[in-house]
Amino acid sequence: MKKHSLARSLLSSLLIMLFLSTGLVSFAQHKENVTLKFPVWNPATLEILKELNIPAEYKKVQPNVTIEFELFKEVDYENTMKIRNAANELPDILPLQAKWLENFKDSLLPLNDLQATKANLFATDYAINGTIVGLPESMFNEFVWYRKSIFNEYNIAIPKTWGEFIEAAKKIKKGNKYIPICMGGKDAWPDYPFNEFMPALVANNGSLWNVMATQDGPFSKDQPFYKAYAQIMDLYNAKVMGPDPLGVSWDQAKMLFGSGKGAMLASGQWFIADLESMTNGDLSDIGAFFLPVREKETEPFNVISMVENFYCIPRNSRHIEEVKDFYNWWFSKDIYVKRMTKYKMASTLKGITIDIGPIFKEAYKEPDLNFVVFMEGNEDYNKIMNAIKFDVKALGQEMMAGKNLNQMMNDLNKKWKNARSRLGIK
Amino acid sequence: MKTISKQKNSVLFVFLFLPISLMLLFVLFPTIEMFRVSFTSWDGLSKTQELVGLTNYKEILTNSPEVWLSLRNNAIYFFVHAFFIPIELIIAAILDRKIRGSKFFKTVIFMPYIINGVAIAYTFSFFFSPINGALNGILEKIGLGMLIRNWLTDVRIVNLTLAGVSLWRFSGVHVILFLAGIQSIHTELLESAMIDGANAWQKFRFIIVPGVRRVLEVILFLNLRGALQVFDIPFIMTNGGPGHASSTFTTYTLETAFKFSSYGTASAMGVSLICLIILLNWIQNKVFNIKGVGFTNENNS
Repeated sequence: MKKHSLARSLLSSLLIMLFLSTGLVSFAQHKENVTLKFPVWNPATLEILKELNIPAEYKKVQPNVTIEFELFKEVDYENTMKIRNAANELPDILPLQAKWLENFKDSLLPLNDLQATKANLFATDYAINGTIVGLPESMFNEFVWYRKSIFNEYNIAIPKTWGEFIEAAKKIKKGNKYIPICMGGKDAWPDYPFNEFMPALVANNGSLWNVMATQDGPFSKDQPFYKAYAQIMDLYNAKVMGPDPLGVSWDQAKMLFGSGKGAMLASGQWFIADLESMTNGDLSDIGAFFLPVREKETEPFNVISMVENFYCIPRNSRHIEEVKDFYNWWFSKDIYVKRMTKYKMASTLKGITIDIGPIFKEAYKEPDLNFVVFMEGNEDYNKIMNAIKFDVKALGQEMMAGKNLNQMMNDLNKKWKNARSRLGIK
Repeated sequence: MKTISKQKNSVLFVFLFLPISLMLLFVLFPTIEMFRVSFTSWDGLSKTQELVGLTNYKEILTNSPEVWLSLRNNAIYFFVHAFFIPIELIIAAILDRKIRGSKFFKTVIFMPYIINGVAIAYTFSFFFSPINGALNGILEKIGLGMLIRNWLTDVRIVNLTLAGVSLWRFSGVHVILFLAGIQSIHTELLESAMIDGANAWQKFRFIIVPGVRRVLEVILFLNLRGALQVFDIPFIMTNGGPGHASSTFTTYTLETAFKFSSYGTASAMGVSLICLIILLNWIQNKVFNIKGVGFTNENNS
């Protein structure tokens, strides 16, 4: 009898468990269908995400969640997000650039406790007052992309110093056959490898903006900003960027380089996606080297490193839990490695190394490389920047147009000092 | 009678409710909001909006050289257009005469106005482009290579180039408005003048010009408003660059709001623009009345 009753109770327990588990499964299957909006600002990135079939891949993990991409122009992205924020309509998945984090910080959910945060190497470095508001996806460097055939034609070696870099460009200019450096000056932002990053490289300090926020005269002759801009002026004055660099847009500049009419183009690692699409994947004639900002070979070779694409969650998102689950998947090893290998970007996750391809390996062989991690400005810097409308890329345009450097720096010093005093910044 | 009156009011209410509601919602409310925000230091993202009184207005007047530079650029558009107004009137007078193909010319002249402004700006960007640009190509072909310029990047000529595009776009509508004005002049006046032995110039100076005075007032106002609010052409063709060399008041306002997160200052600039248009239009009308084109208001009535 006892045996029968034991068997009966075991059977009934099994049945109950089976019933409960079926019930749970069916409950899980009947989760509310959710669509997560995923904005993207780079068409090449979107192509990769579509190629990886991200929505379908995630459906396998969370069948009730649909990922819907929205493509924006990079130049409009921040403004669009500001407008959406005002209307409480930020997308659920919110990628932001590092420089926008400070502005959006009040609208973002803290991610300190997220599982994906613990695996991230740089999330803590970009925390704002101890709060992690975004998870950086990739790390990359800035390069000068060049045409190997043109360098061979003019017998030019990879430049190691700033002087050699200008000389190489002048040599190509002399041949009167190619545009030495393709610059989309019409759009302002493409001068960023020079006008935005060179002061930090000359200073060997990725947080230079924050240092400048504590100074009254950061544009004086003895300061790194002035020194860097004097070097940039030498380059612009050499007129090695075609007959009218300010009349050429970024799209035109990259087409010139892509079609072999230009010899060099300064841009980030991310440009490889554009290059691959322009050359149908044939990169045999393309090489990359680090922008040599140093004046002598005996100095350390400072190179900018960027940590970018911060994934954030808006506080007002209606699907916070679903986005958190998505981020845990998004930064999980399999999909992350697949994605980064396509992007050809370095990893921001602990214990994961990405093979970024042979094209960059030559550049990394350079001895004495010193990586300067570029940090965006803090709150004080942003206040001053907004007050005096400090725009390094527009300064670059003015320099290309021939504005006097000393006058420009003196004006900036005056404005900077006034703004600091007006805003009460110490 | 009461029923008819009630019915009339009901019809009026039904027809006016929607447009007035839309106007209140999308014109009046944002305008009031703009006035309110102009007294705050709102950055466009914060939940709080701190009141700062007239600080934003003081900032615009005393601490923003770019504002004055932008206004100077606006003035270039105004004067280029103003200079062409007499020519537009002459063209209208010519088109009014029974010349062969006048309908064709009227259509051609009016065409730029109905083409999308963004499309025009893009087209002219390519026209002036330093790489395979049509204008420089034409100049080279016809042996005028010495006239080749960096039309959109040379700070000395960029605003004239842009004003030229604006002129191309808006002159046609001025001509058509003048034409409508000329056609409203009683033919008896012109016939009497002809009998009295007036020549073409005398008819133009003493009949046509005074006859289109009202149209001229409208065109002067449109020119002033258009020059101060010009946006799409500089925004698309140069984005206000190089630096701020071709920025206008509206492109600079946009930059202030979105690039530098100063919505308070940008709102103050918006309010200032309204005041500026009202003030300059009043001055323009005064000048117009003092110099007169022929008739005064009293004479007209």
